[in-house]
Amino acid sequence: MMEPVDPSTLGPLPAPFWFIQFFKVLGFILHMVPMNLWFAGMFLTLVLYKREGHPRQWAERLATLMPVIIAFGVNFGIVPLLFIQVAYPWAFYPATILTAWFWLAIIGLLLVAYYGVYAFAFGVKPDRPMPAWRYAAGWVAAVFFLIIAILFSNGMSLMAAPERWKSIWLAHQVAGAATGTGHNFADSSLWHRWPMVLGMAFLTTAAWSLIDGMFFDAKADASYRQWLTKYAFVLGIIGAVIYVGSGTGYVFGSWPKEVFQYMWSGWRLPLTVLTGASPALVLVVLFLIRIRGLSPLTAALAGVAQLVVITLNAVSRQIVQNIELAHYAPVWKIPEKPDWGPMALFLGTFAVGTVVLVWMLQQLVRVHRGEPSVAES
Amino acid sequence: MHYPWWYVPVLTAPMLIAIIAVLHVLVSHYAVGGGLFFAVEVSHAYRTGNREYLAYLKRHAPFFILLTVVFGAITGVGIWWTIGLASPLATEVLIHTFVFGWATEWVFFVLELTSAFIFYYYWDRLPPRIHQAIAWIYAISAWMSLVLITGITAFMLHPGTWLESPSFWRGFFNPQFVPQVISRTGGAILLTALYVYLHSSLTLPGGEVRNLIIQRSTRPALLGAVLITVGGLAWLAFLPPSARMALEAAAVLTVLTVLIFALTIVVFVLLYLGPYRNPGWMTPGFAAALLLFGLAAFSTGEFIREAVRKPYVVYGVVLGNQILEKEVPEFRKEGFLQSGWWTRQFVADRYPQVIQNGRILPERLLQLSEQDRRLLGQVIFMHHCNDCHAAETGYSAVGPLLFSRPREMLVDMIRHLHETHYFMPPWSGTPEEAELVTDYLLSIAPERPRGIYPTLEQLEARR
Repeated sequence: MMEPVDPSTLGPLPAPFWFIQFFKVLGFILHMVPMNLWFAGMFLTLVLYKREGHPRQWAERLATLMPVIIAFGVNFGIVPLLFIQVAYPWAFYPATILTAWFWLAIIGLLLVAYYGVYAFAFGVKPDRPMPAWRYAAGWVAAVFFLIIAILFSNGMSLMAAPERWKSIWLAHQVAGAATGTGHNFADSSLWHRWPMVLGMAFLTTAAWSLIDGMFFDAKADASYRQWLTKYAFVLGIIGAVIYVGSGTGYVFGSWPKEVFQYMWSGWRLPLTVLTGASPALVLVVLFLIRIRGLSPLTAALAGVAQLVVITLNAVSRQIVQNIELAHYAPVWKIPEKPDWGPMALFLGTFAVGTVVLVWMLQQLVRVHRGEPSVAES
Repeated sequence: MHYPWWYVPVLTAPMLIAIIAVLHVLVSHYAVGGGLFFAVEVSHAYRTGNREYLAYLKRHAPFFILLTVVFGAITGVGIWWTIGLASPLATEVLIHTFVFGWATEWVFFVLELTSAFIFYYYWDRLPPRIHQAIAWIYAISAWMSLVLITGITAFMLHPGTWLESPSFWRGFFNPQFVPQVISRTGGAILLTALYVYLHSSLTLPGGEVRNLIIQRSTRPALLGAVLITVGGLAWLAFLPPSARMALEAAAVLTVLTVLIFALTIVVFVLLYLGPYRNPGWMTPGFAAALLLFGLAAFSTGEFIREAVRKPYVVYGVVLGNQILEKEVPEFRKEGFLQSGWWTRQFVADRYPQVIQNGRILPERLLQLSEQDRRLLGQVIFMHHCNDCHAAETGYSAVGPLLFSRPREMLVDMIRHLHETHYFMPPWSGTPEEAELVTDYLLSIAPERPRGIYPTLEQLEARR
């Protein structure tokens, strides 16, 4: 077991801990949306692409958007990873070094998977069949995404379990140097968290399908939207079952005692219950949509409901992570020395960047509506 | 050692950083220069109403996206991944110092991505003025990310006044910042021209558009070469003294420095003779040769940039072997094995007899068997030396450097590492630990190669 770290000996945090947590959680939420779409969506796309009618239409739609989705998913992943390294370097680096080859493999797999997605997406032509190699490339990408998620969970779950480091290290070392072939695959929490994310991915894909069909897909007609309501409901049920099943196993089967006690008491109790039960909210909305039909309001509600699921999950995960690591270094006791100037630079750029981003998206909306743009009018 | 050391056989872990970093910069500079290229050229094409040129630029865009958004972006994340694995302490120092620099750069990444996709996917759908504006948003965002990351990487070579008074701004605006921004901007412009030559020579059989592309890309390319030269000379002028000396003292770096100037001159001459004076020469073969020369110059430059920092990863702060410079006296006093959590745990697990009250007793280390002494010597070698040296074979392998050296010479060399070679980190262990490393090194030292100069005894015998 690793010895506890005296927080006062750790380098001071360059920002208040709440600030680091806020952006870590925000970044994680932003990352989860596109990541969920490629995690479950790519697999579903490949299956439905071989069918006809609306399933094929849905698959073609997601396939053509997938390269953009992946780009933003990877990009948004930078934020939580950056702030993880600010908050817990003493836990993050050892865990990833002990599993280095698995951790590094994520980059290689992602590169191949991303090109696989492009190969598949560029082969989507409504009027002609896709060459077999492009379809195969799509499958390679889908499988790689599933593996990447396991490898990522492998590193992250080990980060939260310093008590495992020593045995893994001693079993995979040459003269005390880590060979990087260690792994945490025996940790049950990994095998609960991975399907939990998969369950969430199905739910996100369901909500996204409705929003896209309602607001963005110009080819979506009444018949397609009708099909979407049924399809999203099925996806939602599958996602909720996987999420709740694996989540129950995660909470009751793999949480350490102190984490369990902490999360099931005080103000954390309603948060824990809500996090576990939140997919029901999405299911209720999807059920309403199934009965009453898709409208701008119900589509938006489905999106908001799924955002609540992801947000609750991200917030709970952050609290659990802090408690898991508190044994070794209570993160809230690490000295802080905020770097206000650069923080202002970031926040200022963030604000200006958001304005520019909104302006660009506004131009797209105008194109879709057939209106002249601001600069032209 | 604050973190476990990752042993990568033959190559050494930091070489993985170098490999991925070189692959990344060859594309990331195109991502920056390509932004300027598209912004300027699309504006020109719209202004002159040149539909053929616009059509070519539209064909160039997916090539650009597939290379930069996929390979460039993923290898960029790959660098980050690898530095955390192979150089965790330095990464921690950099992230603590520049977290908001990186966060700011991320905002520009988001703008880059969004504008790149809108620029490409909404081609012919956006009004020309908006399309151009989007191209400029991409160009500015991409250049800003170059500026931000350069401030951080330049800091690693020369933190300047940050060493006396650490602050984000002092670290960011370091002596190497402006020279590197100039040379990288030039590199981005030049490399983009070379990519454009290759793409256009492959996709356009000839005609006015191809001549136009060649004509319009040559002046920026020459400007890029000039900026690289100016920035490179300023880089040399503002190097820390040790890095400048390393360029002269390490034969490989001297050769590479000459090589990079030679390659830059070759590219410059080829640009002048080819596209500038004889646009007809721009066949795919000529364009490929130009690009290869350019890529070779870039790779060489990146390798030199990484290598001249020795013995530091972050100059004056973090040594190559993942020890803070300020910790060296403590390590020498307490012992290398004792001072690192991972090395201490290893000793505690294998040799509890050398530990008393939680401390490793140096004199007991020497009482271990020969085999155990070698193993502990190897432990120290792994954590103290393997960041730059493979053991028996591989990158800068230490074995072949040691043949036939007498034990006393080796012990003395280890105890005075940075005095024998100033680009080596200082020895950070006790005298007893130096003996252990010597035990290990002698066990991997190969025999004297046959045919090499004879010993004094042999020379005497020949007389």
